[in-house]
Amino acid sequence: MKTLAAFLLLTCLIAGKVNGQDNTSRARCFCADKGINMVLLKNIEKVEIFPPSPSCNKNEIVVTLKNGAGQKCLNPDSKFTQNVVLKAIGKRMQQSVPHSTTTGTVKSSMTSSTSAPTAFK
Amino acid sequence: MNVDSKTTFSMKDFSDYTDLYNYSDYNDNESYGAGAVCTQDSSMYFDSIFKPILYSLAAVVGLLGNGLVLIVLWKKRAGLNVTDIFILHLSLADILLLLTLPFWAVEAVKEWIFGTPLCKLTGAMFRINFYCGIYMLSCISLDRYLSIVHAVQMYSRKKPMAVHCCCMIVWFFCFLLSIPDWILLGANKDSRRQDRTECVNSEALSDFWVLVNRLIYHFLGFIIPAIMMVFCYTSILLRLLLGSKCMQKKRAIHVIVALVLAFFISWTPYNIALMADTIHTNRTDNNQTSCETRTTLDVAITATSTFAYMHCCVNPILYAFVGVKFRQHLLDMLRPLGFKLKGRAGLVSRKSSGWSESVDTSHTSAF
Repeated sequence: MKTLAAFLLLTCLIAGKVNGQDNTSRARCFCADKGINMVLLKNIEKVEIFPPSPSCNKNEIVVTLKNGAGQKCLNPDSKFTQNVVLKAIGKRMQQSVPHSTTTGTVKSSMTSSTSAPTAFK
Repeated sequence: MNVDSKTTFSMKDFSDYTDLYNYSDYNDNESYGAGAVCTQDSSMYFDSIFKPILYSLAAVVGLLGNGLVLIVLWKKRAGLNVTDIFILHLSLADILLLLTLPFWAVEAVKEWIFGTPLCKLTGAMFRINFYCGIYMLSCISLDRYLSIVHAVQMYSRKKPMAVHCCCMIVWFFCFLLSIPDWILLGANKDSRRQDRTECVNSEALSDFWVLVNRLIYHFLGFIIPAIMMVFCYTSILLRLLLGSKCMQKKRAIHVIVALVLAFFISWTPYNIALMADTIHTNRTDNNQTSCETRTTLDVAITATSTFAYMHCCVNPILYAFVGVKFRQHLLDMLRPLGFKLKGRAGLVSRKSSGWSESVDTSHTSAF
């Protein structure tokens, strides 16, 4: 009986981690492959960084290109990403702290990380 | 990379690097289509149209059918036989599952607006009754197999509590399967799904756990019940075919074939869609993949899962209304309401009187 109870508990613990109704969690990341290694900076309209979320357990970087050229995934491990994009993140983080000294307007397309002590508004 | 929420940068953020960065990483040979972004917008749009319509239809039809079954069984609760008790629990499970469908329909159209506590309750209730309905079908097939093929009465007609206890064990097992839902489900926002709040786990599973999850569902939710039903009903069919070729047995054979077909028609497409999705996801890691394929799989899973839930609407017809005694009880209920079926009911009653006697012997209400 104890063995049966242990088996049942193990079964239910393993069986559990799923979506509410779907009964089958689905990995649905944005990036179909690793992504491209580099984008010409002059072609970039904006860059969006997606942390892990309920439908995907990876960090993803999506570049929106100018002139309606669509979107591309950036390879998070490429040199371009490490040197340019991630440094911009660090810079953004630093700027978030001394908020009162920031000048100029912030575009509506910009969003701040919620982990920052103060947000751009 | 340490980012807690979706972060967007405009060109302004990169102005410092325009002239400094060298292009050593730039690769002209990068293949066409690399870096494709597969959003879920189109499959979410399909869900927001398809689910409300089909779920509403399923809820209305299913609640009416199963509700009627419960009323009839309640009226004759003193004389329930073994199969009747299983059908009672089956209808109860189907009703509880169908009651959750409106919540999922609202989630598909708008987002989950009911909060985390109701998310846990609805998700767990769905899972309990999802598995419970399937296992009640298996119990019915096992009971019929034992009583017809082996002439073994697992439960005496005079001890209905034994059957209820068996059903309670099934309910308890299904409740155990839902414990993780109580713990992990919540109303969580997903930046990859149009920033909607959905009733899901707060974190996506690793690929390994997705696979384990799928395999457990396939075995517990489909393969084991299917094997039980095929084995039991095949044995019953063989036994019936060996006997005399009377009309009643021919009809019983048709009922059995309908039961098995209904189960497989309902659940096989869904399991196939899941397997295709699992295979496709695992291949994605190494190869380029088409966004259209992923959208197609999303739509297929939504369509086939909804089709599977329709089985809850069909159960009353297959398992309850097919029974001669059940229909007579139904007609007895309707007569006081003024329905003029006396003559026809009388004919039915006379025609099947011999069959009713044999039914009593076998303790099954459907044959």
